[in-house]
Amino acid sequence: MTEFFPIFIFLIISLGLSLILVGIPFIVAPQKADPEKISAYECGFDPFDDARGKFDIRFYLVAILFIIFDLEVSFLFPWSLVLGEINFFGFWTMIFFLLILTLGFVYEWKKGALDWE
Amino acid sequence: MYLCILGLPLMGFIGAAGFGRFLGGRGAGVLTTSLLALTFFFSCIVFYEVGICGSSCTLSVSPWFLSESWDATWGLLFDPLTGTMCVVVTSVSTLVHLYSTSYMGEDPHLPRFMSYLSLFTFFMLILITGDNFLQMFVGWEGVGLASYLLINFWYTRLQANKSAIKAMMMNRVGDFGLGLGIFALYTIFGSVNFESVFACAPHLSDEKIVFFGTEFHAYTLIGILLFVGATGKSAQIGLHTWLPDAMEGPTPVSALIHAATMVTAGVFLIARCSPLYEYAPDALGVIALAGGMTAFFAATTGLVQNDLKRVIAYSTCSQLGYMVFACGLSHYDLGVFHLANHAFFKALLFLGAGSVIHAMAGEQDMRRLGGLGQALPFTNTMMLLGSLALVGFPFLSGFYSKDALLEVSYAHFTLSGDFTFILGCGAAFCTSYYSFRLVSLTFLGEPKGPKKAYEGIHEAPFQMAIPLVILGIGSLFSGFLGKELMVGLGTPFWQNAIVNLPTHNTGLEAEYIDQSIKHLPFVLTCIGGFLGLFINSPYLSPTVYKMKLTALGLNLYTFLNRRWLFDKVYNDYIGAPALNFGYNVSFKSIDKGVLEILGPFGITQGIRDLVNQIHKLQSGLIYHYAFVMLLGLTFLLTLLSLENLIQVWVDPRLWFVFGLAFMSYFLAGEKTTDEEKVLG
Amino acid sequence: MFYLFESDFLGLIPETFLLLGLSTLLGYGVWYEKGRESEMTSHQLWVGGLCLAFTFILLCESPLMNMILCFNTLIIDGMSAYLKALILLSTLCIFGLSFSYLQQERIKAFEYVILLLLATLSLMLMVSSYDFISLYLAIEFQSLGLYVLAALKRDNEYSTEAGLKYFVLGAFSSGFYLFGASLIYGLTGTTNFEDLGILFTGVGPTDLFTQGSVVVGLLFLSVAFLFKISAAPFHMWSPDVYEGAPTVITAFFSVAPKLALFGVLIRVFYLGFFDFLFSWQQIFFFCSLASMVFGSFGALAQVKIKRLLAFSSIGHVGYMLIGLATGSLQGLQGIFLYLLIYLVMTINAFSVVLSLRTHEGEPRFLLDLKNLNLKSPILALTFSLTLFSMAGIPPLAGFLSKFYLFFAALDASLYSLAILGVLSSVISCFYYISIIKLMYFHKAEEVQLKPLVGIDGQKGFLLGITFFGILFIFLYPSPFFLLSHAAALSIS
Repeated sequence: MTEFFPIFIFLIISLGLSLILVGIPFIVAPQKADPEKISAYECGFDPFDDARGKFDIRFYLVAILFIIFDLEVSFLFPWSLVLGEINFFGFWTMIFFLLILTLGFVYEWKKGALDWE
Repeated sequence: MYLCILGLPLMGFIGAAGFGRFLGGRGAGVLTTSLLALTFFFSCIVFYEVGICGSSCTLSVSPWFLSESWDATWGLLFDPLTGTMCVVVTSVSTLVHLYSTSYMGEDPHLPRFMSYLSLFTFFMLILITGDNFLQMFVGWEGVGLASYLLINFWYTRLQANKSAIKAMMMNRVGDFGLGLGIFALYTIFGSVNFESVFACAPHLSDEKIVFFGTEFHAYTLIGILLFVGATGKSAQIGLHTWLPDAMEGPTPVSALIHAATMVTAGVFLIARCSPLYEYAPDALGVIALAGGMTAFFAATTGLVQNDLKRVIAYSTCSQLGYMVFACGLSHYDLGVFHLANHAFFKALLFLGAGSVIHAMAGEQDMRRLGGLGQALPFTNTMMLLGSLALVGFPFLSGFYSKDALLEVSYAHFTLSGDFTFILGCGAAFCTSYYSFRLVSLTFLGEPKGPKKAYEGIHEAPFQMAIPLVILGIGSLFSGFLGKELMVGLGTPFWQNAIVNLPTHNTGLEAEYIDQSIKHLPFVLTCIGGFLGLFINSPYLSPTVYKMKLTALGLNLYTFLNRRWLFDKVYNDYIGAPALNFGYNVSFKSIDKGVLEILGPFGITQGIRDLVNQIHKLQSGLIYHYAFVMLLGLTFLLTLLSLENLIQVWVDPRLWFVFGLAFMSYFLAGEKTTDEEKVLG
Repeated sequence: MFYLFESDFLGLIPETFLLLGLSTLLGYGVWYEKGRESEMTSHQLWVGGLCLAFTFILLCESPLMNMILCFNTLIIDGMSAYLKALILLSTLCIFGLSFSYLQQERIKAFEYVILLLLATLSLMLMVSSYDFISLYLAIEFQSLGLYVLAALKRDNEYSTEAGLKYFVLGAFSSGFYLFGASLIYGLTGTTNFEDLGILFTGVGPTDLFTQGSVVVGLLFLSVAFLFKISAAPFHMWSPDVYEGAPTVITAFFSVAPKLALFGVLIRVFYLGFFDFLFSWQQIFFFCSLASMVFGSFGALAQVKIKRLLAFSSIGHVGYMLIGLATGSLQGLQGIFLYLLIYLVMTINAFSVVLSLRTHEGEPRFLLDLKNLNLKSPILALTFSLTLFSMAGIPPLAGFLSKFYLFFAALDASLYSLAILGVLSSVISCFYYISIIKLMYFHKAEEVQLKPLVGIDGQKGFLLGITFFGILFIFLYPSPFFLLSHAAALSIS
């Protein structure tokens, strides 16, 4: 139980500090809202367009694909360390795993997910 | 021959009812009357054989209920009691059939009438010849039915409808008591057969019946229940209100049913069950009291009735009271003897009244008759004869039975004896008064009716006169001829039919009571008759009228005229609440209310509301769905973990009730329209 | 170490074959797609169907009857064989239905077939799993495939809504599953069902504290499973998802996951946690009650066909949960029998719904069914008898299954469940019959009724076979009884 004590202290301090930092302005600072102050601001003019910009979905696709292959790589790391012990069986298991992911890669390439146009 | 006694009236009924269309009125009349005359002939033979020669017989016709240890078969029992009753019933029935061929001669429904009369006779014969209680009950119900049909003969008349239903209702109440009595009888004896029951009667006299925790002496209970039946049928006080209203039926009906036969069924029942009653002195006491009260009550009511037939009806009621209290004093033979005599002179009186009504073109109110003595001498004579027999004029038939009754009741030095003696004497006085009042108003004095009625007056035709003559002979001589046979001391006539315990028999003591007591009824009769003639004569009318107009006079008159206000009490306190209950409570609140809400209407409406509520739950918002999932999870968690703790304190079934209440509250105020729904 | 996996591969031959098959199909599809879009889907469907048929044969001819594979993570026994067979059959039926559907809806994505095959593979693995981890992998595998399938029609709002809702709520329930599994692991130190079963032997309803926490973990697990089979009160996603997804996918949703998940439920609760019977019986008791009630009442208010079918399947799940709650062999047999007959009825119902397409598109509202008697009497007759069977009217197949389940419930003294089951059956009769009334007795207007687009061979064949099954199972039910009994026996 005692080994968790520092974590508890950490928790208390971080919680306390953040609460104080957020709370004090909230209490102390004057809040007099009027329409001019609250309205949206775009270089001194009224906003032309929606603040939420159009987001290209390809970024999302690239990120997902990155996650997949990154995890594949992260599986490769421990495997490479113990390859000596697990011999052929371990080797072919990993090859099988990589083959499946390669199939996915082929699919994705052919479908054009890697083209930026 | 025995079966013929039953079968011939039945054939008469079927013939007249089924083929009346082809036979016509006259044909139906001839058919039924001749069949009944044959029946009468057979009954006389039976009477001779069974009564005078002393050989009772039984016949077993066919099985009815055969169930393990209980068998009730259709069977006939002819013993002296039955024989006597058969003669009485068939003779009066034959004469009434003959009478009605002429009285109802112009009625287009005559075949129906004759068939009903024969049907009635058939059922009455079943009643008296039955050898077990069930068969007697069949006859009992049958005569009730026939009575309804006959009272309601002119069924388009509203008063007749009402009276017939009233008769049926009252009879039914009585039948209920009788039914219960038969069930109690079966419980004690295990059989409903007369022979078995009466043979075992002395041995089981100490039995007790336990009902809802209280113990009753079995015979007393049975006796009282059977007497309830007799009350309904014989119009004893309490269930008597139907008898005067039954005069809505045609006069021959009144003569047959309400004078001679049906109303005597109750007396017959009591006489038949004499072995049982002998061992139930409390029941006998009740019977005697009721009979005495009836006799007095009816006689006083008859004093101020204005309808010809109603007077005679109350007279019947009163005489029935006599018969019943005779049985109540253990003198069943006297009761039956009086029954036989009464049949003759009452039928005579009714048929004579019918003759008067026929002559005066339907006029029944005595205040509009009068002075018919010269126009209708024959009828006058017959009515006078009947009245004299009724009041117990010495040496006519009524004298032998009625005075014997009063002597015997005096000689019973018990409470019931004294009570009935006093009431009987009072009734005798009143009987005489109203009988002579009837004669005086109808035949003597000046004519009080419309002239047109008097213009069409004619004496009774042949077919109406013959029965009057025969009945007249009966009322003259039946008492004298039958007295030694039926009520003489130590007569062997009754054999086993009527049982009398030696301790209850006061026939001998009656011979030795004081001479003044023996003369008392005659003296009362004379005074009453004199008063009846005197008060209603034209001389005293103004004075009497002024007397009637005083406060006391009005009250007394109203009280007596309105039959002691029995009808009003029954209507207001029993009839009206029952009808009110039937409509407001059981129809509106329960049937259309509670039962429908718990049933079809409520369930469908409830389901519709529930469905709409559930439909609203599917809101389409994901967070609602997730929230419901969390709620479900929490609920299950509670269910699982806290169940063991909570179950100790709270019965889990309560949750179900709670949930149901919650749901019904939830649904209670929601009224939805049907447009939102496609299905259903 | 090498020989450890000798017979494991033998046991996994059907799954392996399916995996290789679908990989080949994927490669073929993606490589030769250009220029051949229109025929690609039907090619894929035919070859995929063949692949499934071979898997089925491999499954039936498998040399191994009872075995535990892969380091105690997978198991093969009678029940898994039975359920895998049913799953393969259901996917075959779905393929049969898809031929004309994909053409009419102009769905050119051949990935549809791949995804279905992947989902089937995962369902098969789910049925065989014997460990919480492998079960989680299989569940996520299946769910992911189904999320994509639900959102297949990318330009249709309903479809995207369906996919999104399914995804979010499915993830939510997977969270529950993980929490429950980790609680169990934390308390017992093992995730294998067999080990858990041995560990909990003799733990009766003695003490709240020894078993309270395990029961909590069990509760979370069951919530996750119940969500996936759309039992009340976790059913709220199913009407929206069923309505939005493409109709053939809805048919798949109605049938296949329920098959696999009941297998999972039986494995977890009957093998792993049978000694906690009195606790989880209450969970299923309550959920069964709620499912039957919500299924029947909810359907009464519906105006769209697919939502009605969704609620009706919720009701059916309620009946099946009765069998689960009994804890007896008869209950298990009842569930298996019911699953088979439910498969037949649902495929039939969806075939009919798919056959009702007009020029304007597929039917959405119940009123589109009106006067079907005039348009196509045989179709109307088929549908009405299927509906009668769903309502549980003898002598059709649905009655047989319900009868069996109610008797199992009565034997286990779950009287209130049986009674409520009958009552909700009565209520559900109402809406089934109201559909029949719409078909036969609706007043025909003067406006010309829209004629139906024809039914192609495969759909007709499916309709015929399932209809035949519904009508005549009662005449010769013994093979089904034997099958389900064998499956049930393998568990006890």
